[in-house]
Amino acid sequence: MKGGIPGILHAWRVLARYPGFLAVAALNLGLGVAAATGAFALVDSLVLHRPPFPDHARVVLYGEHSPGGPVRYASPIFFDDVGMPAQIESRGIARLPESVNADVAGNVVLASAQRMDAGFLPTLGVSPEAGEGLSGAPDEAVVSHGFWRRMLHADLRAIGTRITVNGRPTVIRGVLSPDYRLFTDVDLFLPLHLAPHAADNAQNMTAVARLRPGVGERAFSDHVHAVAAAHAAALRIGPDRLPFYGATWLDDQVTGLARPTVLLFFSCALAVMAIAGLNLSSLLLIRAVARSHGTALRIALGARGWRPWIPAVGEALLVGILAVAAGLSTGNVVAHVFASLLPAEWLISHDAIAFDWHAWVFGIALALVTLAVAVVGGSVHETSGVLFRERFASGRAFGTKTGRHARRVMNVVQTAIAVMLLAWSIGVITRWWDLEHVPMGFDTAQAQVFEIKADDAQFPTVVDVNALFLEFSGRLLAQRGIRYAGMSNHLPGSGSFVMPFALPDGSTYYAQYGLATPGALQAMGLRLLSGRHFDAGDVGGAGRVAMVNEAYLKTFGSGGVGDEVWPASRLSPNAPLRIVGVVADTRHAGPGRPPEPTVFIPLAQAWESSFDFVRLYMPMYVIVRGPDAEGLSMETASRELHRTAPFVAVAHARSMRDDARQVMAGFRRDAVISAILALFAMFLACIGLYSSESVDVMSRRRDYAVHGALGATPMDLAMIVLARNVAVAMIGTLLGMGCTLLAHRSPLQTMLHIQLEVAVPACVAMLAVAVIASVIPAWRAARIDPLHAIHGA
Amino acid sequence: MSLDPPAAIVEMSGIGKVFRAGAIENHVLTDIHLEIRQGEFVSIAGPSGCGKTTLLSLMGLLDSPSHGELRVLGHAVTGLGRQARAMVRNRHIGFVFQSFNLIGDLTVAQNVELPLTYRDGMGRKERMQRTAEALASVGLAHRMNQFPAQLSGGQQQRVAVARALAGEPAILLADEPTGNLDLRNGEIVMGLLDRLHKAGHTICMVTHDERFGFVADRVIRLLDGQVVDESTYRQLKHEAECGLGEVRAEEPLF
Ligand SMILES: Nc1ncnc2c1ncn2[C@@H]1O[C@H](COP(=O)(O)OP(=O)(O)OP(=O)(O)O)[C@@H](O)[C@H]1O
Ligand SMILES: [Mg+2]
Repeated sequence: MKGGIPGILHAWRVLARYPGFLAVAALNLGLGVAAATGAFALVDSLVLHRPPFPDHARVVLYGEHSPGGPVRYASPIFFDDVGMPAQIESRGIARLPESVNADVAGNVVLASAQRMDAGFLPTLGVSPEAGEGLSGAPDEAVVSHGFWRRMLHADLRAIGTRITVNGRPTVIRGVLSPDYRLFTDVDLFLPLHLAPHAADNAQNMTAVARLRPGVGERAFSDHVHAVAAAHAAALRIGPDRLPFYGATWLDDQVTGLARPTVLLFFSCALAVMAIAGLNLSSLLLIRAVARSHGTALRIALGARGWRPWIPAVGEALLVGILAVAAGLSTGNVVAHVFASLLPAEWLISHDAIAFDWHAWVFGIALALVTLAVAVVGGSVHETSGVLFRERFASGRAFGTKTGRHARRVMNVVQTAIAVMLLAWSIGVITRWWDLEHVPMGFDTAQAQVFEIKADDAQFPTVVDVNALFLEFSGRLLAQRGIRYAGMSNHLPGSGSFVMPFALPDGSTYYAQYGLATPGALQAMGLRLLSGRHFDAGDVGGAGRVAMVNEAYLKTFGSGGVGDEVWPASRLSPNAPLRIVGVVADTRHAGPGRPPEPTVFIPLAQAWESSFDFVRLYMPMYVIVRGPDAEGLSMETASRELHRTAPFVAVAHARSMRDDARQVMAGFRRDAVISAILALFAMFLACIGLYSSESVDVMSRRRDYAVHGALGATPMDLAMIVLARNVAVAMIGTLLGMGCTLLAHRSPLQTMLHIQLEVAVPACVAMLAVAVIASVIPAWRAARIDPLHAIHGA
Repeated sequence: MSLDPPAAIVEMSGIGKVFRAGAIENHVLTDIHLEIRQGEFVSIAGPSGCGKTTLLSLMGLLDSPSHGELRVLGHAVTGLGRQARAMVRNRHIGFVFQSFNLIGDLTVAQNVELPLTYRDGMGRKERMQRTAEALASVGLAHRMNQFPAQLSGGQQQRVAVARALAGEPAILLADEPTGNLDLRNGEIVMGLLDRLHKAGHTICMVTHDERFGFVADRVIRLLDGQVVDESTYRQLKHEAECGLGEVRAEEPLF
């Protein structure tokens, strides 16, 4: 008998003779390790990781958070109303990032910029890595480390020089550290100038405050809430919104977005790991049973201490090494796949998801613990088998009955989980499939979209912007194979800017709001149902007109062409618009959503105030349509644009077809993820059923032989195994369907979209898996020689 | 009463069994000729390793001979496949093993019913009835809902006998049925077999124990895989000194 390393090597050579077993065991554990480490990497990077700001522990974000998301936003008015109470040391405010035209030595790009007051970065505790911060003077910028590397060649001499931002010469004052990131990536940090007592009540600001030492989040939050309550009338805060006002630590804000989802995901992954661990213990038990005679012999021959268990430990080690290697590399992939699906706001730092040594240590430790538990489980079996043999001279192992029941319960749970995931996944896949076939309502072929930003520095008024667009349109139409060209803030596949309009009963309804130049709606591929498109005559001085879609007619009870549209926004004049055309509905909110009422207004007739609002937060889309439209290059578009506007960048070119496909990306991703999860669960359930039945057949050879001696045919023996596995799977399937039904009835349904019609295929698939899992053990059972009944197994 | 000799249940002619392990051939049985007739109680005796169990397993179709011909109820069974052999075992042969071989998860009644479940076209009602009868005939009707682990060794072996009888086999094969039992329990089980024989059952039993040989009508002596001598029950009884315990059915035995 070999001890130590030679013994372990011998065990490896023995196990190498069972490559199928080795592959299944390693794959099973590897899957658990992959899921657990992948999820752990997310938890580590998104929840445990602290924000990359020095000295951030006393910083809070304050304002209101929407019921859906944890991040607080504030309006400029509210920021003023809260003021500088004694509890805080400093405060700052920044607007949501916007796109700007940045010209660095003739290279014009659309950059992401955030306007902030001079207190914002210091309050966060951030000072530039090189140069200085914003002084409060106009026309200066601090640049991100990324922008400095990309656009300024990582040259420190760039500090103090000028670049052009939205046509205005702007001095670079400093470069931030590579760590800086708050919810999103920003290239340029520009000064924000709020008029004192700005009349802006839109919550598009991030307000931060540094609390004095010893002041708690609660105290300041109460203050913020009290301010909101005191000014509720002026700020139009309804009683339903009031509870959402307060303050939250920066740390919690930064991790708060990701936390619930990531922790849910992590617990699911740990459940997968637990299932894999239980499977592993069954699998090792198969080996333990096969070996127990040898172990008994070793002990009988006087082996003491841990020597008799060397084969068990050696085999577990080999499985573990393979599983950890497979699991960690797959876990890395899993982490990165999920990272690529994460919303950018969840990321705390730039280096998205780090699958670093934390994950490695976690994965290895988890695998070791699981293996140790599984080996001990198997060894207990061996020991008790040995004792039983010694005392009763029978081949049957003692204590396996409880183990058998535990395995069955586990099989039931696994099957239930697999069925639930499968039912959900089939639902998600059919939903995606159905949506793929929902007509988008517009012609996606032969059209291309660019984004440009007509900033208010270079084009202060609507008239300027309109003139730019008309001229640019003209140049584009002069290109070969372009039939229509136009600009709009709205795309038929993805618009998301709403404005209030008056319903006949006087209440307001938020409808999609699209500004469009003549030709834009044709370029979008919208179908004109009645009336006419916008034309060159729809200008400022002419009668105000609008185009609407079918959903608008339905929702607003409008008579269509000739009827009036009443804007109800504070930003618009209180005058009606005449409907001149009606277009067909499009699924602009995605094919899963019903079409929304939409109002189009000629850009030339847009109200200045609403237009400023629109262009502050969204780019304008240039849309071209024609046989050669998809081939129009960004270089050509840039060249033509720069003849008119040298400091405006063209960005994000894509075909309308891609844009429409992009809308489906979320559904496709959900379908893929759910299918992967369901396949994992099915795989684990299959291994579970296979391994517990194998253990059973191997540890009870003599019982099967007795069945055979009493006249059970090989087919009968196989059926014993099959029937038991199918029965277990059926119980699990029923349980899983019960849970699915409960989830269907619960509020979770809005998130899960479970379709009960898929229950039948899910059950059938699960039973098929149970049959597949039974094939090998059933075949083994059928081949047990009835002679064993006499000679002993 | 017919004067014809009773029909042969098992006929062996020129049976041989060779076990091969690599190049080594082990001729365990050679040229065995024997016949077991309806209503006979045959005992197979011989020293350890002489091939008694092998002979019994050939008779019970658990194994197939290397040479010779085996007939069960007049039909040649040597060439049958696994499936067909299982069916013959189920219908015509009852087994009693040295180590009882009851299935631990099944109740006493379920164990007894087991061979019947492999029989096509037998309804649940008939199975229950036969189970009850078989258990009654070994005096364990009151234990039917217990598990084997709750019974003594002797009781377990009686359950095994009941299980072998439930299918109403043409022949009962028992391989050292008393081997795992103490003397008293051995006597009770042997008494049970004796009573069954008197009731008309055909029995073939392997035993080491010379004391139980006299229960049989006929003893087949095996030596090195060959039948060497046959003597009758009456001759052996004459040599015997000790008697057997009486078994009364329907009564608990302990
Ligand atoms: N499956 C087998 N493979 C190889 N050899 C076997 C096999 N079964 C039995 N033998 C050999 O056949 C010979 C006879 O075995 P068998 O079990 O029939 O003896 P036995 O008379 O029943 O002995 P005992 O009284 O000890 O039970 C032995 O030498 C044994 O080694
Ligand atoms: Mg024997």
